[in-house]
Amino acid sequence: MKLDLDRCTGCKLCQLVCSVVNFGENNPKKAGIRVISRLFTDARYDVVVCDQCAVCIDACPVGAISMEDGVVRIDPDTCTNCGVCVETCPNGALFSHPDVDYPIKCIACGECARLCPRGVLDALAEVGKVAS
Amino acid sequence: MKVVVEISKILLAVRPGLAERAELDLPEGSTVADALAAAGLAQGLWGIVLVGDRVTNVSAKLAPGDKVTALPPVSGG
Amino acid sequence: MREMHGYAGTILRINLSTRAVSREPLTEDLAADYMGGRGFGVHFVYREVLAGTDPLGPGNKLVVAAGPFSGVFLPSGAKTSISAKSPATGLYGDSNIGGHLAGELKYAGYDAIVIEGKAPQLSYLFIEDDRVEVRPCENLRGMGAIKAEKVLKDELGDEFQIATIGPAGENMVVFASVNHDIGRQAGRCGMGAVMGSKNLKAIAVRGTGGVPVADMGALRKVADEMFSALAANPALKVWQDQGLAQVTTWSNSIGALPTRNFRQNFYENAEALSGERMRSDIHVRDKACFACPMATGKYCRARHRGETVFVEGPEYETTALIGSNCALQSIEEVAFANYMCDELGLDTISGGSAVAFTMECFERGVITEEDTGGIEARFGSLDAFVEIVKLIAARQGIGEPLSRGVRAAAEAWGGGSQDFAIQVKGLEWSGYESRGAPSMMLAYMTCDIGAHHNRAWSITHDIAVGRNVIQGKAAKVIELQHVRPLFDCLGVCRLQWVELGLPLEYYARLYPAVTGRKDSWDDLLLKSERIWNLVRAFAVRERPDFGRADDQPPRRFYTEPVPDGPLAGSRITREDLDTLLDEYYDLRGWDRGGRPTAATLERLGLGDVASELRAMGRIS
Repeated sequence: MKLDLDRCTGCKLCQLVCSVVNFGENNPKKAGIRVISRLFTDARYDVVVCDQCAVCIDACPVGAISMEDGVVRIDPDTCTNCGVCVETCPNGALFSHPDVDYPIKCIACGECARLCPRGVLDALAEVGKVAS
Repeated sequence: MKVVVEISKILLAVRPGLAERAELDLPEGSTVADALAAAGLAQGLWGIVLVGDRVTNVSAKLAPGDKVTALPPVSGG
Repeated sequence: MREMHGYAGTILRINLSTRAVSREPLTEDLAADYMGGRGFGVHFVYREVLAGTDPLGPGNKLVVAAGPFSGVFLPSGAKTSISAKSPATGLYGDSNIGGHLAGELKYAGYDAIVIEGKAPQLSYLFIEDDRVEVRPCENLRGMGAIKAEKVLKDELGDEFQIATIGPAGENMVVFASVNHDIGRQAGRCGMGAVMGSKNLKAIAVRGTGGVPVADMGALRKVADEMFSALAANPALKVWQDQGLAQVTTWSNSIGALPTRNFRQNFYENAEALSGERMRSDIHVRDKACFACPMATGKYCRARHRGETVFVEGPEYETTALIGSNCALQSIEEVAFANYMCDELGLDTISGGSAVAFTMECFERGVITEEDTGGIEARFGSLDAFVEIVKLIAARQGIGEPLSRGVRAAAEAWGGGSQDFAIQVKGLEWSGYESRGAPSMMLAYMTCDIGAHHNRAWSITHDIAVGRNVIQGKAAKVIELQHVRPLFDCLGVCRLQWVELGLPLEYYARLYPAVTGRKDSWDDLLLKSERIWNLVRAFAVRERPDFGRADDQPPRRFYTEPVPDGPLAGSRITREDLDTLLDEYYDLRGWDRGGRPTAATLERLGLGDVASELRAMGRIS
């Protein structure tokens, strides 16, 4: 999955809309995507989000993670929030939040890609299309 | 040649009394600035100007059927 | 505690002298009457900073406040207001800052921070949700504002949003800025100096909570329409490319670009400072505030004498005050000077103005090379610019009087320089020379914090109804002075409305969706008028002689006609200025001395303020 990171302006609308759509909250920390500023060192931004590589599925000790229609999903009822997947993820794309008892990740709903003012996340929308 | 000039709402708030959309009949070779003047907009009242959906220079020559859209000048943040 | 929609629900109060931290519930009345942001700042400063308080003493209070729209799903709920009694004017002052701080403050659980007292040693404020600490940071002393932000980010993590001051703030230069997100500044009114006076080097915030809203469904619907309208706007691309830098060429074309300390309003070399040149010559990356599609931040690279620096900017104000006003030669020179000001922690508007004033004094012989310590302070010299701002930040040599603003420097240097110290109320004039724009002139004269453009910007009104017309101009200024600051109360950027034409109706629909309150847009404008009058009341309470004389532009503007450019020969007279002010005071319900009447204050629900001022004999 190739994001157009050169176009990212660091506005974090993706994080905000993710929390709104998936949790009904205005809370960018409760999101399956992160914008990271690398301005001080590299004059650019990074976006961290799941590319559905599925490495976490095998790593999960309780079998809470599975692939459905091309999207890696965590079953909150089975998950023990042990944090192994968070540490295993090669992209750092699973996020812990103090008020959520399972890791938060992208479910390819496509809302962030739809709203991104710069088209940075178009590749994510493609994952969403595959999923639906 | 016939061209259309559209004036954005926020610009109309500054210059009430102008038509939001004016169909003009201008001589061949008229420029964007000519069209804006014919629509009643003084120089200094427009900021970004578009022909179709492309940003243009006001000295550019118009073609028949062009649509000119005037946006307000940047208002200082 | 009951959830308050649109708000975190808590005011955080910190006394730096005693390290006492307290949390006060945000009351329904305060939220209803003052909304947030600038409104909260005005409320706390009026109620708690009593007359005669030293702006740079421990009795002053610094209010850092978000608004109900901050951090919420809508375009650019990104504005934090910073308020205090201003060391530049001795009156109420505020300045706002974009970036990512406003939402973070609310996610951490606070609508505003009220900072009191003075820390015994250089410190920073650490806030992570419920954890609030005053931490010593002697290691940051003297460090540049941007460098200090980097040091704290490296230590705390990228998710912390950080506001810092530079050496100018530590040294209490009265136009010291507060810096955030590398290149965003609350530049005006010396809020950085107030931080410095409190030994507060930085504020670092991270929060994991959410902002509750009254009707998420309605909010999503309006926000979606707003984002769609912005995406469909063909002008968005120009904004994404050039940001506010695009205005330089226009401003020059209509005779409004401050040039050589406002002697001229047309710069023969403006093309070299244009937005196009910024984009083609020095631009590196576009940079946005929180949830903003416009991304007006332009991250740029500049080289000077072997040094390469990165800076966010230069946007228009910086280009006007540092560029044409000091007659610099290229946008890269402006960018380098911009970097120096940002790192030293100086407002680029007042800083540029102070240097231009110095250059004019030097060229006229008011000051000499002996005074400047050998600096050849001529217009057009970037080397001189750099040396002068370093002296200002350090308050050494000519930098000492300049560090108190051009009004004070003119008093110190004399020689007729008072006539061209370009300021109102002690605050240096921002980027629109207004001899050919009477309503804009009035906007600067009556702006509540001093000569700043953001309260009312009305040049197009002058162009539309006649640039020589005086009568009838005040109503537009007053209308704008209520609507534009409303955005600063709501904690949202106004560019999406004022520049891209997003209709105000959207914001009127957002308010009930976010807060659950029933107020119409007109109701909100009335609150904004109340806040405007409370700022005026602060000034009247502060000084027995405050009034009409404080609403005057520098003498240059009514004695010297414009020398060249598209408005060559045009002038505004003393009588014109009186006409503008009379009309303005009458419409506001103030007396001709510029003081609100008791009846006006009572009409606005400020009866207790009217009583206080009447008891002091300040109003009738």
